[in-house]
Amino acid sequence: MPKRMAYEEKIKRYRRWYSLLLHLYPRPYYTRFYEEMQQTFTDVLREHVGTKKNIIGFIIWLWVETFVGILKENITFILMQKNIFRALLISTILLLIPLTASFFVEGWLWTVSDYVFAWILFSLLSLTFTFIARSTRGNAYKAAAALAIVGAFLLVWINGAVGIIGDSDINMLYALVVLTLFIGTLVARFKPEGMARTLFAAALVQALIPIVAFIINTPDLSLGVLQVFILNAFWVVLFIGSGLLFRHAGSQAPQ
Amino acid sequence: MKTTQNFTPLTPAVLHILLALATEERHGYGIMKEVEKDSENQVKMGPGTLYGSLHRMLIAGLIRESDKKIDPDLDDERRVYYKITGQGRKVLEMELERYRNLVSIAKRKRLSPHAKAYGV
Repeated sequence: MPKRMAYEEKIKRYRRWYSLLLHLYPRPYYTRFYEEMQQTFTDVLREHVGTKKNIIGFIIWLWVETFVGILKENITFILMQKNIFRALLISTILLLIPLTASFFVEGWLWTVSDYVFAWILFSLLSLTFTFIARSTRGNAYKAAAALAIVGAFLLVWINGAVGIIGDSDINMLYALVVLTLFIGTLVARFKPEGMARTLFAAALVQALIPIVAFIINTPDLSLGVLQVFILNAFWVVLFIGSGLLFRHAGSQAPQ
Repeated sequence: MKTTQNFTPLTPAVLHILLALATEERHGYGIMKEVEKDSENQVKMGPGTLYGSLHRMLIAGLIRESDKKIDPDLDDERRVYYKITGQGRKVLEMELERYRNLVSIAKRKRLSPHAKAYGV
């Protein structure tokens, strides 16, 4: 029994040293796997102690094997940074579209700040897609997230460029949709069930805005008013679709 | 989205992990033990290879995490269990089919060590 306790003490010490080695993994990988890797290290060590074979040689093998893994993961992580660079490059190339158009389309008057705004939006969009594509979530969750992001992007973009309800300050109300998405995402902490509720809430806010605008402005019923409602319905459908996909992703997740 | 063909051929580590998870969900050490058992101690996987492969398989959607549980055969630490997904199962079937085809080619060419014994 005392011999076994002595071994347990040794194993604890080796585990502490091993946990130091694990710090060399890229941060996200370390956060995700360090606890499990320590457990597995302890398990294999305990098993090896039972076989009464040379433990030091075995520990060296585990260290070298893990170190090779660390090198591999760091290389992958650096390549992932390349993905970020690529995403930013794509957003810069996308800017060439409005820049080229400004030479050929009469009345196209983008200022420098317009280009900066567009570049920030494109970059946020491509970076978010890069991270979604790399995430460990299922396809339904990824599709739902992509739909929500595209919806929010188009809402900010179109509203910022021309305004959905004419050229009126009432368009500021659409900030409420973005705010709903933002706060909802924070509260839900990206969990699919909470994200589904957030998207349904955003759809409701989106649907209410033209009604509120109609009550405030009381315009005459015209084709323009109908167009505003149809345009809003596009986002309502988009957000509900995203919410349903999130709900589906939640039902697929392990219990 | 990646199709199942994009995943094959699988690395030996990924193939063995999928085989280990095909029958039941397991934690990291459980996977290691099953791989050793399946391969009759021919394949020994360390934590570096195991978790590197699990990481990539999670990203590819071939496996998913289950809730943390205590393994009564080990200690009282709660462990993450992994289970194969529908996509993982499809990829595994496709890879096994690929191996079957290779073996049949080898047999046709009388390259298989058992070709004579089986009279093929």
